[in-house]
Amino acid sequence: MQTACSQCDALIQLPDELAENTRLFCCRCGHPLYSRSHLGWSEILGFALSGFIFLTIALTHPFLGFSVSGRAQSMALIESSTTLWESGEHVLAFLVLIFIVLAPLLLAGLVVALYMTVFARVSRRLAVFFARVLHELDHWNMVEVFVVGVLVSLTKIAGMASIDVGVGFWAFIGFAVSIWLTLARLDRHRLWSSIHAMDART
Amino acid sequence: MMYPSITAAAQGYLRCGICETLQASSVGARCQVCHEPLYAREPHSVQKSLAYLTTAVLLYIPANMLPIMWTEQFGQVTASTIVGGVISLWQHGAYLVASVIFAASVVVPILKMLSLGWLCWLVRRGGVAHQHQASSVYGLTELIGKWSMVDVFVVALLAALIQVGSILTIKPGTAALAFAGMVIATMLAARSFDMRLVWDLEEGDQDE
Repeated sequence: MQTACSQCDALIQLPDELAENTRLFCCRCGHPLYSRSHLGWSEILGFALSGFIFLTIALTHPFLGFSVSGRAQSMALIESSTTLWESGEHVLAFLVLIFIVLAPLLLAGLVVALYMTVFARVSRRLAVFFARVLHELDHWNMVEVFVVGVLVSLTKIAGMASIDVGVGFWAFIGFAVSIWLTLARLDRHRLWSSIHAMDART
Repeated sequence: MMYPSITAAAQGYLRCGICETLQASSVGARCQVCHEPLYAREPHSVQKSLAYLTTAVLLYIPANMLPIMWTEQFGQVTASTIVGGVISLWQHGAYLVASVIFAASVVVPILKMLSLGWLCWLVRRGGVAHQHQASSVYGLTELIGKWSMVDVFVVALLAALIQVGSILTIKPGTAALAFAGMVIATMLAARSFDMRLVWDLEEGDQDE
């Protein structure tokens, strides 16, 4: 099978059979061409589903708490967006909600939806649509950036108040790891080949 | 347009930008797998990239001039800008956090805008280019793209968490939106840029 490098467009002949855990690099520019993971669809699906569970916990349990001068205060994950909305920063509130909740949630949902449409051979048109949305949305998931943001905020306020880290925070870390594993291990090459192999009439 | 002989484009193949399937079709035909129009190189990639880049540069000005955060402590309201926040963290001895914020909100955006500008200039100028160098610069720009959003998340978190009435309350400033817009614009600029255009130029470093 032939392919072209995404970075330099070199025409490359790929080996027919690729061993598990192999990575191929372009011979012209060194850009990674393809990596074959040992994980199959069932593992990926497992990561996506655990993402849903972690997010449910993260949204329903206290995220962070802090107390100063005898007054305690706690926040839920969703308040990092809703407080912005209340302060009049509507666009920013919406962006934060997309980057840390909606985009990763939709990505995990798309993985599940793709699994169902491709394997149950439901509809090729639907599978193409899901895979295209997945391709576009991939870059707008920022859960790992948000985790770093939480760590920076904690160090910023650690001096002036005492901080409680809630169950929601730990669940959010679980959510970030699940989503990262789902997207990093999903073999897009095999996904598109399976879609291509589907009956065009469906 | 002449493509280097090693490329798929020179040998009559087009690679779909969405599903990466290689096919022997003519430009403008639809991909067999995902029905996306096929091109040898992304159309108007440099123009799009430059347009997003200009937006990013313009948004970077209010992002730094306006306050990113308002702090109300015992009835006294103070505004802080991005650089002001870094300086005050540094003065309080939080060197690591100050460095992280400084890198994510000052160094990274400037480097990103400079390197994308440089890549666009390379393609516009034509002639010989150092492709391997350009590839590393582009790869780094794509990799660190979204990490600049850290500062916006910090503001969102602090505003949500610190609401103790007149004792201590933090509110988001206008610069946060400008900054988020700048990060989004640079991410779009990087994504619009077609790195293959640089590799189509004459190779400057044959023996690396």
